[in-house]
Parts: sequence; structure tokens; C-alpha cells
Amino acid sequence: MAAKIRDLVRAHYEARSLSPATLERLQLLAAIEPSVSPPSTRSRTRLVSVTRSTRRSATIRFEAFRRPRSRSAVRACVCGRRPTCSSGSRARRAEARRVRSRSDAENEDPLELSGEDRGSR
Amino acid sequence: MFWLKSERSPPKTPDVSSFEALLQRGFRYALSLTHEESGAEDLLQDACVAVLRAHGPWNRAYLFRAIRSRFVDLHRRELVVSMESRPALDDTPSSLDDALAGETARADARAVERALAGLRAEEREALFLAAVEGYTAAEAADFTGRPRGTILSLVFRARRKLERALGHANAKDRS
Repeated sequence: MAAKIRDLVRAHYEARSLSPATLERLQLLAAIEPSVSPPSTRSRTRLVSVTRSTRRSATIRFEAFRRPRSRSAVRACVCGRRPTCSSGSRARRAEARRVRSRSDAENEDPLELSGEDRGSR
Repeated sequence: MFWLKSERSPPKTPDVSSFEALLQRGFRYALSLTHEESGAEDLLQDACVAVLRAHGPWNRAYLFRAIRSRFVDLHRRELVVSMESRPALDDTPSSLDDALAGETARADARAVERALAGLRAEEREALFLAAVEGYTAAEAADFTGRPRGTILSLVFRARRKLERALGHANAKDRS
């Protein structure tokens, strides 16, 4: 009897299948899966949301996002050769540069100064 | 403009036929939980979306787990409440159809359908995992997070209920 029950249950479930429309929709959903990989520096879109807007449909929303600048570009910007950074960070960096140059001037080597003094004499 | 092509070369989705088979298995598992086709389709879709969101692998274990968690989330309250078996569906209206059609196979299928409807979701799930997916008691226990003894008990009770229901159905058919 146990085997009969198992066969009946198996036959019952194996006779059931997903409707073609749902199957197609889910296949489509999975087919675009690689495109919703986690945003990386090389990707230009990212997945914003996957919602079920109606009972039988899924809505996947993407948004474009700015590709982060490479570190070399940012470094170039720090030394002022390339105006690619945003104004806020540019101002911060300019301020940091000013502070650095001021402190450099204050910490000049006294021996060198005395040498200059000696030379001028 | 949306860019739908991946820069990562090996796609995680399996080939079409095995993916279809996976979806069908997922659907049947969802059906064993909901015992209702449209509910099972919704559950499967939610699970697929969850897999997609989590960038999970497309395999049976992961999909089944997603289906189960989603089902538990959606029906947590119902699961707590459903300690009693649901009453079996009324089986009288189909008898005329059966007599007219004379198809015992269809009558059997309906009897199984009605008998399964009388089981609790946990019992149906355990029975499905054992009978259809071929899980051992230990595997089913590991998957559902229930003790092995509970799984054995659920399968035993489900089988006994089905035997009774189908026995009654057969007796009715014979009379």
C-alpha cells in the first residue's frame, strides 16, 4: 500500500506543470539575470528593484549610474593638472594643499637657512 | 539607456532545458505547499525573484529553500494556526461526471487531489519530498529544519490519511 501511495502521489505531482506563460516569464527573468550583477566599477547600470507589480508579472527597474573615476584620475586632480573632480572635493583638496605648503614653509631646515646666511655674508 | 548585457562572461543561468526542469520541480514543490496552482505559480515567481536578488545559484536546493522561506513568510500565521487537518473537499459533485466519462484514471486523480487537500501543508511537504523528490528522512529533516523523527511522523501520518481517504473513495466507487 505504501508503494501504491507513493506512486499515486508521484503521478499526481508529475502530471502538474507550470503554465506556459509563467514558464516563459520566469525564463525571461532568469535570462536577464547576468545583467543585474552587483554594480562594479565596470558596470553602468544597476538593479534598483524587482517588484511584483501585478499578480502575474514582475517589474525589474534599472538605473544608470556614474562610473567611478579611476584612482589615477583622482590623483591627477589632486595635483591640479586635470579638473575632473567635483567642486566640493576640489575645494577640500585645495585647502589641504594650502595647509601642507604652509606647514612645509614653517618646517624648513634651519641648517640650510644658516648656510644661505653664511653664503650671503 | 539600459544596458542588458553582462560584462561577466559565464552566465549563471543553466541551459534552457535543465532550467525548465528546475522550474517545473520548483512549481511542484510550491504546489505541495500551497495545494493551489495559481498560488504555487506566485510562490515560485517570488522565489525566483529572491534568487535573482541574492544572486544565488540556480539549483534545486537553493530554489526549494527560497520557495520554502517565502511560503513560511507569507503563511507564517496560517502555519501556526493550521495544526488541525483541513476538512477534505466534498467529493459528491464529481460522481456524475465520473459515471458519464467512465474514466477511472481521472476519478483516481481527483480522489488523490481531494485526499491531498485534506493534509496539512507540513504533511504534504514531507510526503512530496519523500515520494517525489526522493529525499531521505535525514535530508528532509536537514532541509526543513525539523527533527528526523518529526519528518518520519509527518510522512507516516500523511500516508495513513491518504490510505484512509483513498480507501473510502475506492469503497465509494465500488458501491
